[in-house]
Amino acid sequence: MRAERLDDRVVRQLYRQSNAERWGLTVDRFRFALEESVARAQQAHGDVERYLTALHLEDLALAAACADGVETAWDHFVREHRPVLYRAADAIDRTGAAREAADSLYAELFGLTEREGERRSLFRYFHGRSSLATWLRAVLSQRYVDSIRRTRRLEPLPDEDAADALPSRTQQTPEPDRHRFVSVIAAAIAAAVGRLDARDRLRLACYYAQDLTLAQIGRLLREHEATASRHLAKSRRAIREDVERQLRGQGLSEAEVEECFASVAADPGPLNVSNLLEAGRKTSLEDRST
Amino acid sequence: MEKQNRHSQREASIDRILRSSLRSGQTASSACVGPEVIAAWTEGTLPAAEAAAVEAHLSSCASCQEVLAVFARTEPPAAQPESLWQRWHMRWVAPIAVAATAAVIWVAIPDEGRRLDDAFDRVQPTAPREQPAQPNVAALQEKPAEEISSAPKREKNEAKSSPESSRLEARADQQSANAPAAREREQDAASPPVASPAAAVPQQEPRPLADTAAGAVRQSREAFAQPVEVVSPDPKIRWRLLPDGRLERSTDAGKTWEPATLPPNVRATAVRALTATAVVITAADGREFRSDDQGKSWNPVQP
Repeated sequence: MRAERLDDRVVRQLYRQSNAERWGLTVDRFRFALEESVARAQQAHGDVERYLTALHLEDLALAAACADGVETAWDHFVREHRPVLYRAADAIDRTGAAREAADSLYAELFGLTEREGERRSLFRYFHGRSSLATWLRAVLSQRYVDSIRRTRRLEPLPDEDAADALPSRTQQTPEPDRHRFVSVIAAAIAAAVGRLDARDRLRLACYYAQDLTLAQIGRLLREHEATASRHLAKSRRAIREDVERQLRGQGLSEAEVEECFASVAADPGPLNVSNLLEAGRKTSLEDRST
Repeated sequence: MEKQNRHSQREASIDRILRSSLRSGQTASSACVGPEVIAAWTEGTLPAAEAAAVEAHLSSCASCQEVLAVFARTEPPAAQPESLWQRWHMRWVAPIAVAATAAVIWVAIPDEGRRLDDAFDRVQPTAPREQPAQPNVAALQEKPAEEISSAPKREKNEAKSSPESSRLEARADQQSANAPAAREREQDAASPPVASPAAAVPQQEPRPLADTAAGAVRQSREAFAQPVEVVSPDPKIRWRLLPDGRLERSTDAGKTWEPATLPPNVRATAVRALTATAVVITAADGREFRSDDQGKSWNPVQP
């Protein structure tokens, strides 16, 4: 989908700001890049001019020039951005596994792949909505995760006799009360997590599921790590209060509530709260709408 | 207290559940956000409505969370907010305080620097020293040996009470100097004069001065503070080195002075009058130039 033709005055002003003539880009070529960007994000933005002025114009011009194979632009990219790419790859995996993804990405950026005889550079997917360096890191992250997933799919299934395949302690020693308590508290926790704000849920996921440090979470959410830590503690407290309320609401005595918490204290068992999160979130949305 | 303990135990249980269950397999939803949107979201450049929608998706999509987590690991550690002590204007506090303290000490104890010079001279056993005025030498010779040897111990008190004290001390060092040093001093007595603060006072008789490393350090350092006058073997011919490195010459025992030419791009830091007509200057860069025609022309002295 192409955007409507942009106003000449706006395009020329953005062209000057982007320093695109440094790479020998014509105004029309830069207009094309701008219109592609607008078309890409049209659904999310009503005010086109505001959207355009918020773009990373210099990076957009550089990407367009690199996509066109302008040598000086490539020299600049290689000098300024390729080190960013390789540093990011080394940060992801010091064994060099991510380097392969970085090399592959670099080849795609250069446009080694061809379609209908035309060189197609990955740069055509850059629309200036973030800086080029951040975009490169995000693309590399996506490529790395994809490669890990491909590896996972190729791995053989675990042996049935393997220790991991054995049923958990919970299943080995059936305790009707414990099983009931675990089920009850798991559902309560899922509902409580579902009622949290999206940002709080994301913070929990980053911390518990992705093992990010507080500093990394803080950088992602643009908050100080101490703030991230406080928010995590607050979320835990909110979940505990919500779960207690739910359990009492189901008619459990204080001793039974205590028993519920105790039942998951030592061994939470094969719970999968995350599967319940979506249901919990839907429940929460229904609660809020009523 | 018991209630608090119970709460923290229960929150620990929740912690364990979340840790063990949130990381188990999750499926990606159909509307995953692409790298461009993730990049823009992390930079905070998305419009508020779009950012909220992206955040809602990220909070429930394990697949995107995985990409986000890898992305977070690519980010170099951000610079921490500067503490009060690290702010730029506070960084100068310590150096300024040290400089101010040094200045106060320098002003309050002006003789300290001189004592340091003398101390430097003392560690140079062969360094010949400036000849003191005759009356002081006589007075010193009358002093008992133990008083001479104890002179350095009283240095601090005497330095403040009497300007002569450092000179007395220097004299005491001379007394204890070994024979070769004494011989060297005798040779120095016959050597041509060198610019020195002491030589700044016009004298009737040419005074032999130190020309050793220790003496040179002191001379060059102090030469910048005031004009230094050097008397040639002919008392009427004198040279004067100005603090800015210019050289002047007098042919009437210092009554009138005329500017002397210097070699191009040379700033003199020391001057020695070898004879009535021959003079040697030392430039700031260590080179030496000699003139045998009262400073009209100069030739570099080969080391």
